[in-house]
Amino acid sequence: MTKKLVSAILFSVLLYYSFQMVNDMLFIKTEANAAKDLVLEPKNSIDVFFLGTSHVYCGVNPLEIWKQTGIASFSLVTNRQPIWASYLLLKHSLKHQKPAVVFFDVLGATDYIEGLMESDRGIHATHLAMDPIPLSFSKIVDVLQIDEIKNKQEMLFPVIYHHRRLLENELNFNDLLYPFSRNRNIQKGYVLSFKTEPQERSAPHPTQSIHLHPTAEKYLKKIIELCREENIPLILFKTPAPSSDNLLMQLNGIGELAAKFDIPWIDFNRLVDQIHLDYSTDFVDGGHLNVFGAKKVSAYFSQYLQENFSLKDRREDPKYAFWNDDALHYDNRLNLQTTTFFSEYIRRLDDPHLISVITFDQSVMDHQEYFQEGKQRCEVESSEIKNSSNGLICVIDAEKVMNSTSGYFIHYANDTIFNVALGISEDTKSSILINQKEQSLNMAGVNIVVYDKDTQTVLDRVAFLPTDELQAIRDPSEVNP
Amino acid sequence: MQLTSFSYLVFFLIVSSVYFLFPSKYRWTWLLLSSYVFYGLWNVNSIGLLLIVTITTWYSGYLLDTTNKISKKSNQSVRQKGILAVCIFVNIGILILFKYSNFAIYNLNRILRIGHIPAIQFTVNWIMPVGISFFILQALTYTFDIYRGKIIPEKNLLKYALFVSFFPQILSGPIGRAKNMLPQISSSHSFDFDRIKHGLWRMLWGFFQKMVIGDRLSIFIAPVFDDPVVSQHGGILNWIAMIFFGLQIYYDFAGYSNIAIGAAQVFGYSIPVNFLRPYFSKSVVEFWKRWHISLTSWFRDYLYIPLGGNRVSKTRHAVNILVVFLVSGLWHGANWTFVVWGLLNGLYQLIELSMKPVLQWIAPKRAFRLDSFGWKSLRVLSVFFLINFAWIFFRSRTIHEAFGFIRGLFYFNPQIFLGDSLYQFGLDRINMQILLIGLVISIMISWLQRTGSLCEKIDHQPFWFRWAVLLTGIFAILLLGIYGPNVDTSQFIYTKF
Repeated sequence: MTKKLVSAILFSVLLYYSFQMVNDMLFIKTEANAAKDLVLEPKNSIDVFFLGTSHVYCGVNPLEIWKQTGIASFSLVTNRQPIWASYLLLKHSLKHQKPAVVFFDVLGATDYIEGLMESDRGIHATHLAMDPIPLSFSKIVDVLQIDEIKNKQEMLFPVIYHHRRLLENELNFNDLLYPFSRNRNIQKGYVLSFKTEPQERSAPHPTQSIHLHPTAEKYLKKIIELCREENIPLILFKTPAPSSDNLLMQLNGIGELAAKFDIPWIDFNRLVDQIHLDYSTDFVDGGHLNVFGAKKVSAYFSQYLQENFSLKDRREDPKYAFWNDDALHYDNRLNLQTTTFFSEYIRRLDDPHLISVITFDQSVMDHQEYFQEGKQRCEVESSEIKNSSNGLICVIDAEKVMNSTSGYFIHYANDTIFNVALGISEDTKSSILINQKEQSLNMAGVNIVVYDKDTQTVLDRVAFLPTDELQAIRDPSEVNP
Repeated sequence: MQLTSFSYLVFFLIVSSVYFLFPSKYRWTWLLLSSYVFYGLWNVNSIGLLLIVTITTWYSGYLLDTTNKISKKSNQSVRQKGILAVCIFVNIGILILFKYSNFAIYNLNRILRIGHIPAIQFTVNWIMPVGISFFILQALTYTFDIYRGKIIPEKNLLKYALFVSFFPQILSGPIGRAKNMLPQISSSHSFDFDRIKHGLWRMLWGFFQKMVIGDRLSIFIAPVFDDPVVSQHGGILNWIAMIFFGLQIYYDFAGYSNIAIGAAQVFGYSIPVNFLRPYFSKSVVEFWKRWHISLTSWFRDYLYIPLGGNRVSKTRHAVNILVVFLVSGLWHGANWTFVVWGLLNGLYQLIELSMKPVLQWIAPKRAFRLDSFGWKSLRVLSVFFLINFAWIFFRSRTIHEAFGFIRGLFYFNPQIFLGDSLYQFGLDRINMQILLIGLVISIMISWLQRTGSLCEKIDHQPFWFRWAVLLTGIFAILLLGIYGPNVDTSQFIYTKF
């Protein structure tokens, strides 16, 4: 009997982990899967949490804070995160991390909540926040206690909600590999956006205030209580955004509540001039900041943290070395597309998160000295380029170099096929196909296509013409015939 | 709480875990409490009715026994018949009141309309208590068997109450017999690992039958049967829908029965099987011995035999068969479609019985071997077709729609196999493929079950094989089952009866 019971227990364990694996495959992944991303960070390594909705993942950039202060922060954000999910997410995350400060964006505590209560949108948003949290006794208790979560079975067993994705062909290779993936979220919850849409600045702040929605107040108080229990200072904030009078009055109400509980309150709508926010350049849309706006808000947070908390600068700490790597990669994401110097460009390709395909044609032989750094990085001699029939191909994947002079090269990584062929025709002198789609500019000289393994997108496509200026071309029409 | 819901699984897990914590002698009390909670979760108001059925049948049993002991022999028979009649009147009356009142009023009004008499302006708006058709028949087996002297009365009303309300069975059977179930309630049920494991295996198979096959079939059936425009010109679609419905009702009800039997097995209760590979029957008579066995045997023992069975004249025998099938049809629902379905099956049996002597006379002369593979296959296919044809009436909402559907069978449209037309009725190509694989697995399992218990066969396999089969089964249901938000197929067909 003992043997049978042991076997039953072992099978139950296997079933539990198989269930988690299937759940991980099925849930909808976004650029920020807060709970799962956080688990991949080393335990107790995060000093600051930012909690909230998409306004936070567009508006606060932990890597900017890192670069400026060396403080390790993380955005615990998901799209349209309902306030009850914020509460649960924080509660769950505190088991893994012991932050010194928690910042909570209060958009979820405004009448924004009304669109999420008992609606499909709210269910979906709660799933985005809750699904990456593995099934555990505490998750069961938490979900059962939240009245606003009506479909408790689906929230505890996301497979009920998501299993249709399998038959509707919504799953891709990455979904299937997700349970085995240990890829950290390099941007620490931040979502990068370059898009710019000019906005109208809000009218001056009204003085009246509106009382909070009862549900919002209930969970805001729970968040306050939780932070007090854990002895973690809580700061309420609201990212800047064009806001209606009604919303601004609600924010006044939140300010009053913050004062009542003696909690610091930062309303960025009142700090627009102080942080030099430009409504014509710093917004993606009517609610979200772009990369430029996020930089300004993050700079404010950096200063605020330094002035009000004695948090460690961890930039020199060897345990945090990967933060510097992540910051470098973020920098590449940010700046690669604007880098025009060949040598700087080549240096930026030393990034474990990138796959770079570089082709040299024989025209570079006339300007050998200018391409020297590229040839060195690709570990090729000029003679190899000279002796090749159509040129030379070099692929750098996670800082490893593979090259070929045969005029044809295939590389496979991350469920992506790179087909590189030289001299096929006049129009495709240097063809670089990524998953059968042409990405090369097919210019003379050096053509480079950079692929971001994390976002699975082409980060940049550029050609350096064989001239003394090594002109960087991103738009072929810029070149005079 | 549907049996295929996560709520049921959680409920079952809690009930079964606590069950084994109770002292063996009192485990039945926990089951009784759980059964009433389970039933109350469906509709708390129906608990009163369940109590009425329980108390009236139990008290009749007590009275029948007392009469037997104290009355003079001359008075005994009359008094007992009176008690039995009152018990049947009350319980079948309850069933008729809830199930057939509106049907009776509707038909009466049609007759009144012929005589230009004003119609009765009254309808019964009570919600029919779930499982009523099942637990009333189950409770009546107790009274009948005491009357026949086959069992002695159960002195403990609470134990009897568990017999009537046992939660794995109460919604849709299998209809238990007092003589089988009551002794089990009084006996002790130890923690038997293998028995529990086999019960869970059976439940898992039931979930697969219902959620992966049955509910997938229903997706195709509804748009064909329920849209007269499609069904009257469906042609091949109608043929497929007809066969699919025959399969759906099997997988739906056999799935339910397996979940119920498996759950009971976990608690140590043995409930007889409800289906024995019915679509492999070689005659209609055989089919009805292998289909919904607990109901057909109930009708056989408590209706057909009291009517005289086959120990009467040929005409009376034929009438007995038709009466049983008429009642069976009506038991399934208050609609003329069920009446026609029942009578059609009765008619099949009469034709089959009348052909029997002819076949027996021809077979030796023509050197037919009716048990040869060819003839057996033909007979299985013929029975399969006849039964499926009768299901058309069972599935259709009205007789008119059923005839429309039958007309649609003769519509010639083989072009439906070209292109993707077949996949426009809810089941796309991938779902059709899953369905086909599910059916093949099911047939393979039926085949393996012919030579003994499948559970025991699996027990003889190495652990890694058993675990692989179990995990595949669980995740096949989780990933390929038809369930989840905005899916309305989870109700079992028979819980409506």
